[in-house]
Amino acid sequence: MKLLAIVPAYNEEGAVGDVVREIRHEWPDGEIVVIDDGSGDATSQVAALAGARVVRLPFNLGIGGAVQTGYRIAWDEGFDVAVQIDGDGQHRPDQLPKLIARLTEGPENLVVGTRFVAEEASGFRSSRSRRGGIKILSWLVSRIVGHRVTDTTSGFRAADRLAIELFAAHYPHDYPEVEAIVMAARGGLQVAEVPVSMRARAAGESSITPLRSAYYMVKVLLAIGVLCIGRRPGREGAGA
Amino acid sequence: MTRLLIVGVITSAALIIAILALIRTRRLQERYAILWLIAASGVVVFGLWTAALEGLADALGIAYPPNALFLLGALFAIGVLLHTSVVITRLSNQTQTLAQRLAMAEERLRELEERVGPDGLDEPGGDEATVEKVLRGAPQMTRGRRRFPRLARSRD
Repeated sequence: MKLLAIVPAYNEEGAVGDVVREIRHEWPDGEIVVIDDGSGDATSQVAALAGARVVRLPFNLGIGGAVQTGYRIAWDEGFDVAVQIDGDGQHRPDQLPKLIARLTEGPENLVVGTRFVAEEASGFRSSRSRRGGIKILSWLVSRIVGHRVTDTTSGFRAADRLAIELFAAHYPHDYPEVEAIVMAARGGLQVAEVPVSMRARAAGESSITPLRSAYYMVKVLLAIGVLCIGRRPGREGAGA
Repeated sequence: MTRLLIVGVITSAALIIAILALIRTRRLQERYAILWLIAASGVVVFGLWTAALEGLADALGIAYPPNALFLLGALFAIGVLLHTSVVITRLSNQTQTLAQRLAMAEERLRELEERVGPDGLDEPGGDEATVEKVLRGAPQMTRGRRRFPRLARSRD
């Protein structure tokens, strides 16, 4: 089984080196590709020195465009499993085996690492409005997917060959995490969640501001709405 | 003919001339100029042929005929803007795909150069199978729409 770790990174020279080393330690047989999303710092060099393959985008595409580059590589080069791990260090590579175990043992095509079950233990905290938004999205996505999904915004994921093919062909822009789950469900794929623990950011700045959060909600709700137009109830999965 | 109509007709005629000049100097593709030409021609035609304009205004329930003309103009402008947004979306999708493919190709090229060595192809550094693998194209993907028919959305 060929495994690829996709690490999107934008100006993460302070964190990406450790992320790559930890993945290698955890997973010596896998390949690691860092997608440098047009960084202005030494992200590419740090990642290459840590032993990762580095694909350097000519300009900033945003997280969606960066991650899709990884899925295109995974598809082109025949990888059986692709995992997404953020380059900022908040996803813990030592949690990877949980995702991969679920993906290979269960019938699911896409496994999302969710932080909420282990939240207390890891000391993860977020603002009230952010939690509210996450709840709304979680409720909506759960209804569409057909079972409970708690952490729709987690970018810590494992995908099998079918999900790799879907994401290589179609991947949302801007803030893709929620939309990608809906897209997978609409494409007839099975989605599962696995509890994982996460860390606070190792370095760099979070991009979340109130205005961006509002835009995020509107944009994601619109995208989900558009994806669901023409839905035929009772034929879930028939197209795949 | 009212003064308002005269101004409208002259402006539209100037617009048509400007569009034709842009096409002639290849700064505007014909396909994107057609909507503009139709809109501007409409203003000219109705401005000169006042009987048709009055009939149209009557049918639409507009008391002052020139207003019908400007309503048409506004609708055309909205249509052109929407068309422009669609074109921008297509272009940005294509640009993203190009950026991704370029970055992937550059990585493969770097890898290939490392394997082949500094002296070029005369002295292959890596084993042939690897070089062949690097040179070989990507596996053919079933077109997205057919493979995932319920996602009939993307056209890039």
